[in-house]
Amino acid sequence: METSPHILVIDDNRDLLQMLTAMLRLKAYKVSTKDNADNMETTLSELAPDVIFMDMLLSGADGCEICRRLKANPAFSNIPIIMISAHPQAKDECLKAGANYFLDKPFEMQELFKVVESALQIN
Amino acid sequence: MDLKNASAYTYQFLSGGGEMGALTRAKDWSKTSIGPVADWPQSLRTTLSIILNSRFPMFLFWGPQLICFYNDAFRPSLGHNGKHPDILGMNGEDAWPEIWEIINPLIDQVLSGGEATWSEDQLIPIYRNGKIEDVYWTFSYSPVNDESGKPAGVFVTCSETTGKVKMLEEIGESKNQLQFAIDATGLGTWDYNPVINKFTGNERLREWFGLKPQDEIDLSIAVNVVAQADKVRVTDAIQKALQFSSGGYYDIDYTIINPVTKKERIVRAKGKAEFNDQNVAYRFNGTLQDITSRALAKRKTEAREKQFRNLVLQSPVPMAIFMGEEHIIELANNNMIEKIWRKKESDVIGKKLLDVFPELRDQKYPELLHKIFVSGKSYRENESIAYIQEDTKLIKYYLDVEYAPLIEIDNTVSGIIVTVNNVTEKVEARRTVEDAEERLRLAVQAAELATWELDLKNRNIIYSSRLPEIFGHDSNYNFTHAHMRSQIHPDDIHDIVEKAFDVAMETGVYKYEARVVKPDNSVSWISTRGKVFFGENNEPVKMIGTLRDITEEKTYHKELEEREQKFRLLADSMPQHVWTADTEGNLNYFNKSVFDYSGLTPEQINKDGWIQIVHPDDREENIKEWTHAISTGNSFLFEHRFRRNDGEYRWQLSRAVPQKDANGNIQMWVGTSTDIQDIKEVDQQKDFFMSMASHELKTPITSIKGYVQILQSMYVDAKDDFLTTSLKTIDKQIITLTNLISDLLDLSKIKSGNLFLTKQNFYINGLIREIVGEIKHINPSYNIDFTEESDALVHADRERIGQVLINFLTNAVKYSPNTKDVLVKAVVEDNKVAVFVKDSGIGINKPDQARIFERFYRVEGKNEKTFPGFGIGLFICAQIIERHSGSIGVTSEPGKGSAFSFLLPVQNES
Repeated sequence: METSPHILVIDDNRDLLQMLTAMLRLKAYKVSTKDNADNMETTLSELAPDVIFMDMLLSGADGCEICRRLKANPAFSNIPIIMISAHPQAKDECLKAGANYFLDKPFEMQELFKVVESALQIN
Repeated sequence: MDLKNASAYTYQFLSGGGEMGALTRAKDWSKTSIGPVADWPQSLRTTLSIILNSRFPMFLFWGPQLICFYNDAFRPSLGHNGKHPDILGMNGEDAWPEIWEIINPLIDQVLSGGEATWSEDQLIPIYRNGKIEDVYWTFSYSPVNDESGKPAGVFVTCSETTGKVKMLEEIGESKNQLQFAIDATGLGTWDYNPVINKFTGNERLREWFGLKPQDEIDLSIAVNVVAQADKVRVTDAIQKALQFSSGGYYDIDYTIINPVTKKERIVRAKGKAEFNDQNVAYRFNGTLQDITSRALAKRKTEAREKQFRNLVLQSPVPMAIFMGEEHIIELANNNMIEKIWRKKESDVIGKKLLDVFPELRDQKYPELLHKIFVSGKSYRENESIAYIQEDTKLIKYYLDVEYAPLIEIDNTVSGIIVTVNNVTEKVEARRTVEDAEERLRLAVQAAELATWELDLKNRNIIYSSRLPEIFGHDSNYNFTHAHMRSQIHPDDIHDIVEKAFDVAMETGVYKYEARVVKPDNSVSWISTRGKVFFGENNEPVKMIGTLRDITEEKTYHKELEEREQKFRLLADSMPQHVWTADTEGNLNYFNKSVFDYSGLTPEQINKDGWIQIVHPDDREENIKEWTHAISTGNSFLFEHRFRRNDGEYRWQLSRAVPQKDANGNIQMWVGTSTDIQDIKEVDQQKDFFMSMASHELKTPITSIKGYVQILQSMYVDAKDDFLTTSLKTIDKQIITLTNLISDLLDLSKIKSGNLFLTKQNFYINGLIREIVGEIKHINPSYNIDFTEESDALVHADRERIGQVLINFLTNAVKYSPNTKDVLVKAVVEDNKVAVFVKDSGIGINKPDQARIFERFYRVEGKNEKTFPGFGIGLFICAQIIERHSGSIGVTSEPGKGSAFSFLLPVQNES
């Protein structure tokens, strides 16, 4: 039996983290959460997620910087990254940093599902 | 009456005889030597009877005393106031003393038994009509014998032939005159007898033909003298004249060559042949006239005329000749035809002037030309203005036009010759001088200048009447140089006037402004300008100059200075930067604040310009905007940074408005620059806050929206209406809230100039479809119809254009609460795509339509109050479309709906 796709959600806002978890579970995805960007490589090695879902603005870290780092690392570079932000210029920066998808805050749930599914197709 | 006289009536021989009969009868003959009538012999009686009754003039000398008798017919020969009637009965010698010497021999001859005499047209002057007259007579003296058979008297029959003789003399004279005329005119005469073919001529003709005197010659010999070229023609003409049908007339010009001298002569032969009953010519005679000089003259005239024509045609001066009373254009050179008349040669030559230029008919010209033609006097129009085509433009010329009569040898006028002289340069030069003079004169007058001339040797001064007036005197006041000097203000005499005089002696230029004390102690200002003239040894001789009252100017200047001082004081006390500029945009005044702020000196600003204090990043746009304002005359409004004396750049809001005169012409620009750094900073903080706030707001909204959507999906099948409706309302309100936050964010971006576009190529219909779908999804009760026609590729920010569309569509939905019909359409035209969103809602009135794209503008009205929003949506749309080089617009009718549209440039497919 095929296991459910595993999605790692990273956001420093606990409320948002909970909401996203609830939303993704509606689709029966396996969801892991992380409220900071510390030790990303270790986490990824342990969890081996199918998709990374990450807020651009994280307390104490720049989502774009992490994105660039991961994309530069052959061990993780093939994991699709979906980034979200409310910041006006965020989309360009994120895509430039190597993010595969971007979602403006706030977003429609259906939009999120569509994006996640597309990301899973890549992998 | 005595008896003897009375008895005379009784004598038959004395009856009748008219006046002379009566006089003879009345005469007392007894007192004469022939005695009383009764004693007269029969021979006397008979003779007297014949005489008195004859109508032929008769006279009788009788007896030894030669007593005179005559009849009525003789009487006129005695004239008036002469001999008649006194000589009746008088002695012959007493009666005719003046001619006695002539007639006495004749009488003696007859009385002595000689033959009767006969004299014809004899000049015998007699005394009559109060004077001795030359009288011609034809007369006969014959004897009258008495009874003894001896001559006792002389019977004279005579007739006066004075008339006949005079006539003959006149004939003779006219004959002489004819001869003389022939001789004088140099005519040759010729006579040809065709019957015998003989030709004779007068002496002159013979000489011309080289013939010997008195020769009668063959016609052929005469013809041989005719020049070869004319021979056949002459022979033919002669033959023709000799034929009866020709009427005998002969008139021909030809050349003869004298066979001896070889002299050539051009002659005109005229003659006529006479014909007999058989119509055969028997005589052919006429004259020959030497026309050599005339013919040569004619040839010369023709040559001269040709020369004249060439002169006209080749003249650099426009010329034309009009012939006859109708002014037919006989000749005109190209300069006249092409430059002055601007016609073609074929259109003018041989035509009547007034037909070619009908516009002249109503002017003075017909009369003028006629006058010249009749009077033979030329007419000149000086400096008339004409516009002449040169290349492509009309040039103004001053022309002297002369109309001169063309006078023939016989002094008649045959035509008019017109010449045109270009005097433009002369006139313009003169006008310039006149203008200059006039200007000078006006300047002197207008400036109320006094003029003066000072003799530097004796200080004599000559001046215009204005000068004493300026010094406070009458215009005819007698003024000396010393007096003038004495009126100069004591404070000015040494420092100004005398100093200026010394300078003038060195430099030749005299110039000062000083005060004058008038007789009434009032003070006025004068300005003097002069020039020194130096003599042969370089010594100053005289000075000529002007003097002007400048009191008013001085006062005005002072006022102006005071006013300006006030203005400067005011301007300098302002914290704002104040500056002015001339009409060219050159800044020419800065208040103290500018120098204080920048720390620059006026010299530094003059040298390197005001732009040096503007932030380098702002300079280009600053200059562009300023130049635009200067060239259009529109006010200048610009935000830029100025460098403060400590090196810090601070934002300034500069504003400049043109100052116009009464005619609306810009005189100068007045500008201010206000430090807005603090406002700017507050603004920037506000923008930053807005940006942050919207960002921070969006995170909780994302949570809320997410949870609502999770709940919706969880309870999609729940029968709880309240729950589903509530969730739906929350979702919709979150969208509204999100849009408001986005608008605020966009506004702050527009304000801070951070509305960046990410342009890409995309097809417009795809975007419209997408957006219409979304709006339909949210507003399922609305009928939103997108009619796809032509598609277009655009290079634009897809999301921003989508935002505009969303705005249009949400507005359409919002403002058509009842009709629910919205139409969307894209039309491509002229390389532009227009997207329309049309509703049938409440519409917008005209004044509002114009302002609807302004920031924070919301349509006011009781109905509109129900519609929420900041009123910035359309402002943002307009900004977005403007940044795409497009345009945005609305058409609307209240109660019927609105149509919003935007236009974008179409991207080329290639």
